[in-house]
Amino acid sequence: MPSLESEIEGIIETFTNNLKQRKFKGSRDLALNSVQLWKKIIGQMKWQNARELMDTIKKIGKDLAETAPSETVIGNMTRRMLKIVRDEYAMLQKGKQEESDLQDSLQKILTADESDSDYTKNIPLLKPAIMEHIGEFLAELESSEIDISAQALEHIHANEIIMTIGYSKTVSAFLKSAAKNRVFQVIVAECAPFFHGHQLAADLAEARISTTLIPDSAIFAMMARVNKVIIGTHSVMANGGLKAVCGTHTLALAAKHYSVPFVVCAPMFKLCPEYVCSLDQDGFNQFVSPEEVLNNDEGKLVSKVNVYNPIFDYVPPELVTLFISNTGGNAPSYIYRLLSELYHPLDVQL
Amino acid sequence: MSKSGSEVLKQEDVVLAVLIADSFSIRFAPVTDSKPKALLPLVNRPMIDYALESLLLSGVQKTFVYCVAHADQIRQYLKESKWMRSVSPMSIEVISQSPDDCRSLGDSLRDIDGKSLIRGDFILMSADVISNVQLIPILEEHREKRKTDKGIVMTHIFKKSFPGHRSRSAEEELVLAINPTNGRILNYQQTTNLKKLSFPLEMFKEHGLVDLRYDLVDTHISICSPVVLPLFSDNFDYQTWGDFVRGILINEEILNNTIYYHQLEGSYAAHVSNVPMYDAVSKDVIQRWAFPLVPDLNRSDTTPRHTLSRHNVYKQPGVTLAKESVLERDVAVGENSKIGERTFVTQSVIGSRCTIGNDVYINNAYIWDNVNIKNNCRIEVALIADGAVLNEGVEIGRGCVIGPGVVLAAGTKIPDNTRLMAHPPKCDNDFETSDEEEGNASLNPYVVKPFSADSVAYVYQRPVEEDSDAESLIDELWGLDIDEDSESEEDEDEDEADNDEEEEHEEEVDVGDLPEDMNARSFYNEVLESLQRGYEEKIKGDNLVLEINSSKYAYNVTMKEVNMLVIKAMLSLPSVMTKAATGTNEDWVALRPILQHFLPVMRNYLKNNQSMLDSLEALEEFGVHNSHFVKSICKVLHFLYGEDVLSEDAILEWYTNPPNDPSALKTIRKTVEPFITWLEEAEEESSEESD
Repeated sequence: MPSLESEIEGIIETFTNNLKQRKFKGSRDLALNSVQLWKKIIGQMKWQNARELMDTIKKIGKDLAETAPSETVIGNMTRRMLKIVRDEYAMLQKGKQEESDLQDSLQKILTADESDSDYTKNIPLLKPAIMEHIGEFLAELESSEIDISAQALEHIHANEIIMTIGYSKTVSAFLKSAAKNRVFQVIVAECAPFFHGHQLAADLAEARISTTLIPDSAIFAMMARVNKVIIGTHSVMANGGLKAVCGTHTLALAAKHYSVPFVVCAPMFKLCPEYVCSLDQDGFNQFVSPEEVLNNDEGKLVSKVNVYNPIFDYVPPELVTLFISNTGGNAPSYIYRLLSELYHPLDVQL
Repeated sequence: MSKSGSEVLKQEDVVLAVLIADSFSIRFAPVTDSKPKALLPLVNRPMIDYALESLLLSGVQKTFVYCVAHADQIRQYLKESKWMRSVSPMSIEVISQSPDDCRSLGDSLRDIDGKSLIRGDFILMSADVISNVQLIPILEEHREKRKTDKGIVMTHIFKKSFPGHRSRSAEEELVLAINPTNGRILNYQQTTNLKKLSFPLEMFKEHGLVDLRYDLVDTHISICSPVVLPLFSDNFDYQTWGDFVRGILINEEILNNTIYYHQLEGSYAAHVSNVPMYDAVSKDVIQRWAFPLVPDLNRSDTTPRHTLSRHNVYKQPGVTLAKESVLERDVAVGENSKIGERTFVTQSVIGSRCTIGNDVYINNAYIWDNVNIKNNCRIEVALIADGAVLNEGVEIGRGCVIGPGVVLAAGTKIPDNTRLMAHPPKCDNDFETSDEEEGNASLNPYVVKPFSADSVAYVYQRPVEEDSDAESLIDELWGLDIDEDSESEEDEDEDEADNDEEEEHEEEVDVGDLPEDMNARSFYNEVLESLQRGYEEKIKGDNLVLEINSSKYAYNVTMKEVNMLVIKAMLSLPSVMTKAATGTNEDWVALRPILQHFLPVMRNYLKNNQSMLDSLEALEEFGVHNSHFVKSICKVLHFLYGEDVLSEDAILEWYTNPPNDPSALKTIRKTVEPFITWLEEAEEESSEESD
């Protein structure tokens, strides 16, 4: 592998540094920034053919994913870049789209043959084509939130009671968009110990939506009168399960008990082709400082107890009723099809 | 994005930090003899990495790393690390100085001032600080304060930790007087071993509100105005931060300089000042208090990241766990380490490329790289440095530090709180056999006896310093503090072991139930010494009382303990001095002049009924443990009664109260019976007379 030019190294360093300093606000911001990073890298890097480019993307992508192991969006974006390169190469090569479209059977996806093409041909038009495709993808990312909230009226009806948890930009935009035409009520679970729910409640109240903030312990008690649960998620796993903020599983179980529809707003870039491995449950999660649960100044107690503060919950797919993505509503059982559209099966393992 | 060096920025705009990569102490010796403290691994990562990472995460743009001891190693390390790469967003400049020219923090700051590198506000931090604090907001707060107070020289950062917290270093207990309205530091005192503090009255007069804080821990991070450097240069006696603060406060009126404090809210910072603190901070890192400075997010080009599994178990790639081995909780294992069958590891860190055999028990230990531990070893509360080899069946006691390259032969048992190193100590140490031979070693009590010829290990002796008492005490606390409730029995054992060496002269005399805590024990030893000296040199009673009282404050013992221990010490004096105590007559003959001499001392302490009862209790306890004394107890009582040291009422009250130790009933109570009856009769007579 030729060593990266220092300029590209500099761009990557800045990105990882921003990532470490948590400068990105929300996963859409992160997705946008990482695609812009890729755009710069692909634009500035010297490469002979698609194979070389893809190898480099994989290498850098793996490195980026290691920096923030729980941010699945970074890996997703890397896979999307690879897919774009593959698509454009196939298009220019054969004059048509690579045939792995919706007609593909599950069998075909599993046994995708590598001999398909080796991507070694030097195609001068490839670079501009890829750049253009990335540009389109960026536009799609930017409008994803608006696309999702445009569907709000189909899901929220007059005088309904909606429950949500924590803070999600997508959900906030979704509810606000519905509130322009409909009158409804929102119950927000505060989502201890981070209490991001407080922020959402304040946001919604400012938009003149009748909002009630409840502690997490009251979720089950309130569920009986709720018409619909609408939440955001950190990422959607390959089986349709969720990696969402801690407390979501409780909410999903309560919704299941009362047969309340459990709707998840998740733009396409949150779809992740990885599964939750039962062996490495903790690797999937992220544990932050226990400070929010127990103050570090508590004296003797700190050395006597073990405090864990996980950020995420895994919600199994059977508890999810519907995903609302920027392209429309989908059932959890349909996620694998969407994944095959988004990513090439060979790129699942970076 | 800032590129190193080349661009010309106004220095005020660049966020600067000075990292002092030396602690100017020997707390980690002998480990730090060959490796700088900043490069010691903390959870498989050099400490300086944590410090640089936290500066980088705070958004610092330029850092001066000031190194003294082993400067070349630090320079080499940084050169090869990611920190010095041209693309790094934080540029680093290494300044090195020879240890002869720079012996303290003060010296290094004077040197930096001499080089006139810094003109703006800067962050001053020690390289052994682990923190996740966002420093820029505090820097801005510092600049904001300057608008109202032109004399601001420093904002020092403290973390709130209540007493009993593991990250409170026993060496750095402090009391801070602050003005809560503006956060100004009004007074600063280190309180280690101090029980009384005095504050100037003016402080309370000048400031309407004064907070006295004992719940703060010094993080060793400060935001400094550029004027700090010349202040250090002007005052050659400023060595430490404490000197500086005291100096500023004393000269406050003249120079009008002020120091402010900042209390951290919700973020973590701790200073690895000594081995117990190393233990505490490692645990904090493993238990993720220092997030995002945790093992599963930290990685460099050379070391891959750890993966995290349940109960805070971290593993780097290539770790081999044999069947039935257990990593219980709070464990980190480095790259390519092998752990053998049925080996149990809990609350420990194991470095890279270590080999650990079968049936090994590791609890609370810090094992660095390339260590080889053979089967059936047992390690509890210990630090084992790079490349050490422990052969079959080695047992390492609590609080031990095993230096780099030490080889221990099979079956060696290392007593608690031992520090070993691989090379013989320098000749100026009279304890040591520098021309080490096996026969020699077995004779010398200071070398671990069971060492066979195969061991490569020498005991490290800490050079004697003025305040060495307090230090060794603190160092020995490692391992005692941990799990104090559940393992109190073991702790007691350890106490005895500790004191074996120092109490040689007491072997023949069992003083009885000495209180368990170290303080009272040390107090007793001190009292015994001063009494002995007092008797031999015929020192006046008043002076002795003064001496005993000062020991009382130093060790913080209660009045009751003082009464009991003084009496016990007096009684054991004859045997201590002659080393032979048999027979009744000689006993009393030897004791009488001593008691006679110490009458004023006793009169001073035994003033009321309660104190007399205490002393009688002590007499009794002493008798229970020293059977030969029983015979003279009557005489002692009679003598003390005759000299009016003990009152009749007290003796009778003592006699009517049941003894603490049932065995005393048979022996002591029986012996004193005639004296008591005589007393009672005498009382009756006197009362009859008065009728």
